[in-house]
Amino acid sequence: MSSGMEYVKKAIAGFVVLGSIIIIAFAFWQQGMKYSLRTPVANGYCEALPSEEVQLSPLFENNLSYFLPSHNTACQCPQFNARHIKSLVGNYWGSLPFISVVSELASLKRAKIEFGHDLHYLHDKRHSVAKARGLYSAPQAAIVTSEQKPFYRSNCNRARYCTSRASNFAEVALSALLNEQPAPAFGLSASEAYGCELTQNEIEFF
Amino acid sequence: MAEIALTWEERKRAFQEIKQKSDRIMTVAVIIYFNFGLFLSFFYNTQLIAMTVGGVCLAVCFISRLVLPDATLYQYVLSAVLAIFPAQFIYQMHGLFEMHFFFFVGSALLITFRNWKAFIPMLLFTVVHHVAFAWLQYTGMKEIYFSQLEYMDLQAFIFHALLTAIIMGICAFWAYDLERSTLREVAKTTMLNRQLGNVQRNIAFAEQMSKGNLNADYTVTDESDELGKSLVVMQESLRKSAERELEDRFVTVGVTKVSDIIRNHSNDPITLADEFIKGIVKYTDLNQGALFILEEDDNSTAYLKLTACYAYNRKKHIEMRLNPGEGLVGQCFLEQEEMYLTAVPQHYTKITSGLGEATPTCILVVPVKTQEEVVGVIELAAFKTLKPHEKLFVHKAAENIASAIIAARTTAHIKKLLAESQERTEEMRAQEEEMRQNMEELAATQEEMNRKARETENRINAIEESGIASIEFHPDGTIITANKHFLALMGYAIDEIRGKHHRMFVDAEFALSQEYVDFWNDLRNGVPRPGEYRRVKRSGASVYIKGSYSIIRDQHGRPSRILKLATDITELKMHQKQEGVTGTKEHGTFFTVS
Repeated sequence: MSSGMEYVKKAIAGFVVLGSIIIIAFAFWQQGMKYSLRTPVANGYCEALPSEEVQLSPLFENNLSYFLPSHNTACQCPQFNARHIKSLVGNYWGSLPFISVVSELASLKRAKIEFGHDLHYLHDKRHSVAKARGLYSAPQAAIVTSEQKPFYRSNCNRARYCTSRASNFAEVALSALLNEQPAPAFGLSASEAYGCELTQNEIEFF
Repeated sequence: MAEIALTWEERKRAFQEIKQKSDRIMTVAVIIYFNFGLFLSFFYNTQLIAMTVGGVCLAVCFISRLVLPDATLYQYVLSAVLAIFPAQFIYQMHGLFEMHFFFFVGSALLITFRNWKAFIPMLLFTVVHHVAFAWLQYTGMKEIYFSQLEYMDLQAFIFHALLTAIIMGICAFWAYDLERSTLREVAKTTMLNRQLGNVQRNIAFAEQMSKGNLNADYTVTDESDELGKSLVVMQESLRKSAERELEDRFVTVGVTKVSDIIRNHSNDPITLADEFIKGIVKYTDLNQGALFILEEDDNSTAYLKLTACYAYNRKKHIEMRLNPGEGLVGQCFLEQEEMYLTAVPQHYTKITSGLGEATPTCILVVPVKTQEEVVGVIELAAFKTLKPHEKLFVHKAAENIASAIIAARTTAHIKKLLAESQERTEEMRAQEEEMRQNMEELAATQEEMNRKARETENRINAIEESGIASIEFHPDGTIITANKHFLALMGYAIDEIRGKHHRMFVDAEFALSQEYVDFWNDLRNGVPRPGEYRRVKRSGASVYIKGSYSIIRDQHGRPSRILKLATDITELKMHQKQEGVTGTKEHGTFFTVS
């Protein structure tokens, strides 16, 4: 084999290795960026004030508090915090009902697979509940007091996978509610949605 | 067994089987890794990562191996891929710690290559990945999902890194140890194979030598092949011995041929010289030759004469005569040493043919000499350089021809001496014959003389007995001898007259006369004087005698002695005187008695 051909082969191998490194690095970077970006704010979103009474579906009983984890198939986030939701359901089942608000455009079946069967599901037609509670993306959850007033609406955790115990915002809020304490203030890290690329339909429809 | 250095080919061959087996294992492993990534992707919908990262890892493994199958690049790529896959799995499983076990699985798998260096890319990737992520996390970037832990403290990280280092170190050591073991085994096998190959090659080589092929090519490729080295040395010795034998045979056969030439033409010096120089030139495969023989001209001046030549350019030595010291030939003759030129001047001589001419490559000038004497010079020219044994042959041939020339000259000299000796002998024989004849003649003469002497003696005795007086004189008149009758007649003893002159027998007057002088002049002139004479005795008395003064001549006819024979006639004279007969002189001849 001529040395020229050998050089060509080495060059090809070098390019392949280099290209592979670039592609792999780009793939991880792209995925990292994807779930780090803020979720676009849905059209018509209005933040419910704590003192304001919200009108929920007739399915909700008026004298009960509710924990409302959102689920949106278009968003990858629910699967990241599904385990956390399950954990909350397991820990606080009996203290208050858990109703997962599944977007109209999302799959109820899939929501049940990810969140399990220990909680209730509300296929939120026309996004009435979501709009009422300001839930438009995962990983977000809302807590409604027995007075039908919004107690908490924010991210479940600052970490994408809900791995940061210190930022288990939803759990802390739930604990405060059950202990009849005022709703804690977590700041932007808790209230701003991230990592979810809502489709244009989701944004417009909402 | 001593360590041997394996060649790249041997090393490649040794690891070929291991490599193929490892490749199969790794092919299965990376496919499993890829599929496992696909499997994990369903947990958190990470299909994109599983397909992209896993697919690229899979592809880069196969492409690198396909493009450079003989290089170890793909092993290093695999090493990195086996580190990337766990990172992918951790990512896919949201930092699930158990996914780290795939890193250990990968480390264990890498051992199969038996190449400790293959762990370097895995180590590098792991170190860079962990250090970078740890640094980011410790600097406050909370978005880095290093693990499922909220925060990995330094102690945990150190343990993590330490265990990783231990695992990788152990795996790398095992890979290294297996590599060394493999190399040792291969070295042993290779050494045995080499030795076996060497033995077979040595046998084949020895067979070639036993068949007489001493020029068989053989290269000792293994430094430890002592037998091969010995065989090469033996081949060299045998080759040198054979060459020496050939050279010796060349010289011996050549000398024999020269001896034949000398023997066959020893009687003809010209033909001998021609055949000799032709024989030398042809036998040594030269191109030109000449034989100069030492000669002497009429002035006894020594010179070298071109006696014979072969393909020689005679124009160069048209006189065919060189003086000692003239040119290379003359100088060689003087120095009695060989001259060998390989840088022949352009116009020194030319070897010509019908098609052209060229200057020879070498010139050899050798003295024709024995140990004692130089009798000529041989000059040879050729287009090739002469080997030592060829020069040796020329020297021996020169010695032989020198001996032959000297022998021929000695023979010629001996022949000449023999001829001269024979001639001299012949002359002596002739002289001897002549002497013998002379002796015989002399003896005859002596006999004759003896006879004559005896006759003379007898005659003298007869004269003596007859009473005739006799006396002998020198031509000058000096008395030599006289007989007793004369002495008695004259009254002298012999001693009284010997050596004296005749005049003592004549009276003083007559002795002074002209007649007396003439008398002796006649006798000296060879004229005999017969007659009667008066002489004077010692006593002074006169005595008359009758007789003759005869001339005795020598061999040349010259008068040497005078002999006088006489008888006493005094009484007769006295009687005649008394009777009156006259006619007798007193002092001379009275009358002539005829």
